[in-house]
Amino acid sequence: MKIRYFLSETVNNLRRNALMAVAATSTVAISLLLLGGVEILGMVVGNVTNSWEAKVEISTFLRDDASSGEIQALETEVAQMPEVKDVTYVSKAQAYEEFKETYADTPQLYEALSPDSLPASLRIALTDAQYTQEVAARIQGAAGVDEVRFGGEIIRRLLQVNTLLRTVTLVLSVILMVASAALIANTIRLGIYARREEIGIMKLVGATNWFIRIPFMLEGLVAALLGALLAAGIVWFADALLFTRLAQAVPFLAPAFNFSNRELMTVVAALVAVGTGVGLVGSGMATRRFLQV
Amino acid sequence: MIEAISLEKDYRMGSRALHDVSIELTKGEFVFIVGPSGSGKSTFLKLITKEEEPTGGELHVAGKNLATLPRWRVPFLRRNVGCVFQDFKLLPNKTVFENVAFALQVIGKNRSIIARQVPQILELVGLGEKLSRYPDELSGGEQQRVSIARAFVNRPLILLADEPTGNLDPATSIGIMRLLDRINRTGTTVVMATHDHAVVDSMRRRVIELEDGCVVRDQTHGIYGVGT
Repeated sequence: MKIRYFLSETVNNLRRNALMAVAATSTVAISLLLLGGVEILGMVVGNVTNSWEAKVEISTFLRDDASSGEIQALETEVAQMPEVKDVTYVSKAQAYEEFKETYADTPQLYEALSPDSLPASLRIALTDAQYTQEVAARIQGAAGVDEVRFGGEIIRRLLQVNTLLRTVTLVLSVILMVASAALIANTIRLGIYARREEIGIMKLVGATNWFIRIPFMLEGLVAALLGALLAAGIVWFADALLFTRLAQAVPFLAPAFNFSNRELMTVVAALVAVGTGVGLVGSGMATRRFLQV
Repeated sequence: MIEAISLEKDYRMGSRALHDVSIELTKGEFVFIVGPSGSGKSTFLKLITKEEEPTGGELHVAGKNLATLPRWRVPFLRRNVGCVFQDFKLLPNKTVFENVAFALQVIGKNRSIIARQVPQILELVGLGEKLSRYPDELSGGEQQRVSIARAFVNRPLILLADEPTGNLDPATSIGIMRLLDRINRTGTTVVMATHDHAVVDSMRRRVIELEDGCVVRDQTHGIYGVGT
């Protein structure tokens, strides 16, 4: 009885203010889409850096005059560092072999080189790419070391760009969320105004405050939830139609655009949760300020 | 049933609505509150439903001290206090039945209770044949009967009527007074604010006269005005 009453009141209110409800719903959807975009961007960057980070290593080129004792000592020292996962010694001959393999298509490149022209090196794999600079600096001055090289710079830039993009989009999204809460509040205010006589009688005959409030709260919640579902649906379709095809068409992008269902569900759940929050805030504001029960 | 002790009510800007009002109304009483416009009649009724807060004194309604009654209990107080107004306050887009049913619906009564009690009460007020009419299809007297039915359908302990005959002609007013009298006979305390001389004089019930917010007369079997 009560539930049926609340639901029919909610539907009636939404229908009466259809235009405002559509405005509120679509603002919620847009703000949540931005939020979803931020999340997906984060996932793409995460995928990219993960696959690159796995390949990040520090190449420590050794001086030609380094004694084998010096090389031994350095290798032992580096292997003991807690950030280091693995150290491999690459001799001059091995380096030449690798070079030959890498440029197997263009023999003129390695034919010009003598087998001992490439320096021997230590290849250091790290537990986490974030220690790259630190470890590199420590090795730099050691005896027998000629030059230290690492590829972490690109990753750092990428993460910086990602942080900036995320911040900007998040700020935009929050602004839009405030706007959607206000639009929801206004939708409800119109509903309250249209029904002020009924509300007056409800108070008169002793309807409880929550009884009067609930249909309006539900109205805001439904508007927000519709927006959230719209945004979640768009994200889902974008994954199914756009990202999957993109990954197929451009294979080297595949790892970046490949999300597990669990990741996707997390994004969708987050959108619905935030949407619900926005709806509650909007309807809470409206019923508190305009219902005066 | 209603006990006021040195009740005071000042509105902002220093205007005084009630001053040192001490009244005791017992269960089943029928009381007229009379006096010119602005003498504090409506304010007194609004204090009883806790629509307004007194600025001094004490007020007990149906065994509850209103000063200490928490806000969330106010709706439950109002279920014991039915209200009737000069302008009926009916919902124009609802039928007679729906208007009365609405009062039960919004306090969470279930469908079967509504289906039983609403026709019963409308029969009592003499509108048993007009359940599906809309308020604007009814005469003023009939509309007031609907409003009384709505106030009484939940069987409140107290019925407050603020100028219920103010918009009605004398003949129709008599019918409304008969109805209020009948409700009173069921044991309901009826408090009616009015400045309708004929109505008060014909009933010969307790009369409390207010003037500038003060009680100037409290008579057991009174008429509207002494010597007027």
